[in-house]
Amino acid sequence: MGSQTILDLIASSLVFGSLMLIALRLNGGTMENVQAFREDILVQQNLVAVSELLEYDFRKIAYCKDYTVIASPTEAIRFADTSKIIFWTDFSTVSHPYGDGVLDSMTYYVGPTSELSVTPNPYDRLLYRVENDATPIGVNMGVTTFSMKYYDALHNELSTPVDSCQMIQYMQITIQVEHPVKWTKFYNTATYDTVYQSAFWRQVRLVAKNLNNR
Amino acid sequence: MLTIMALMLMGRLILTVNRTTLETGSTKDVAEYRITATSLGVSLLESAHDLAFDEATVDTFLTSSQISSLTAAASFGAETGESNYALFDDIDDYHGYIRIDTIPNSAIFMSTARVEYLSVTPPSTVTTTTTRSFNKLITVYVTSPYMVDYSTVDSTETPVQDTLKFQSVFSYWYFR
Repeated sequence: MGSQTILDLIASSLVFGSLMLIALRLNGGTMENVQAFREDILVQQNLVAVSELLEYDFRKIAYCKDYTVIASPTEAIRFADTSKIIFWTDFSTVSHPYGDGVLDSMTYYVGPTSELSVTPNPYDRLLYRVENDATPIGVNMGVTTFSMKYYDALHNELSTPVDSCQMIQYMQITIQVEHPVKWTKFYNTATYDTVYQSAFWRQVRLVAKNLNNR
Repeated sequence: MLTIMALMLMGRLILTVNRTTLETGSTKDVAEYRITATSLGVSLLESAHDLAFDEATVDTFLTSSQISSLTAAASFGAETGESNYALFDDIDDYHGYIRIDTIPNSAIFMSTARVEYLSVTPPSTVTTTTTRSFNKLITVYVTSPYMVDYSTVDSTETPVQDTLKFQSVFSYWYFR
């Protein structure tokens, strides 16, 4: 074996090693990206699920199949605070898709962060949706912000908890959902601290549309 | 020669993987912006739902023979003194309305609205018209410079800015 052959072997080994390292790094980076994207989609799906549920329920504030049951739709909201709301509605069931004509009570609120101390994210909370006097069962959708603001007919913000719920005309619902685990891929460009993947949703909703048919 | 070809192949592979990763990331970000844009569009529709059908029906009601009292389509838009949306009192005040929203941890969104009369011909023909009628269509467009549809390019091969469109029909009736 000549010296030229040995040099060729050494050079090719070096090139192969470099290519192998590049390929491994590429594979690692791709896997990390795919996983991060998958987790981010999970956060988005959670947010969409929560917002769809809220849209459905909040659209039916003051609704009842038997319209005579609610004497005044303005009294449909029973309690209104920044992170808790209780209102009258009429649940639909399989046998009564438009409600059964009997008033039902719906309660939405978020629990304290201590309930989800097992997750690395210190800000996530359980979201509670309680029908009538059922036992509250919270779901972990990664909700970190569940905030509501209330406005009167002149768009003036009402102080919370709202004393006179009949003054509520609009509400602004803000939800932020975060992943329970930090990914090093995501960081704040100002501080370079890693952050939790999050998705944000804010919507203004009219409380009782039927009041305003003019 | 073989080494050079191997390096070229590897370079090509890396570029392809990088492009795929960037495109996936972009799609994910745009999906997130679309969720926020949807909430803004629906918010604007909800606000319109609270208003009177027309300036002529704010304080009183109209019968079908008084259709000429409705605002002419050419006069749609905020009336004098309605300098912001909190002062709007009827649906067509939103015609030409533009709002810029800056959402934390998200993007800057621009919402615009257009209001038109609708002509309804049974059983299912619905067209926009400038003739007064007791049906109005509000169309809300929400866009953002960050919402780019990379699958669609214009004549200069530049990806087009994506715009979400929301529509709602308002009809006037009065219970006697």
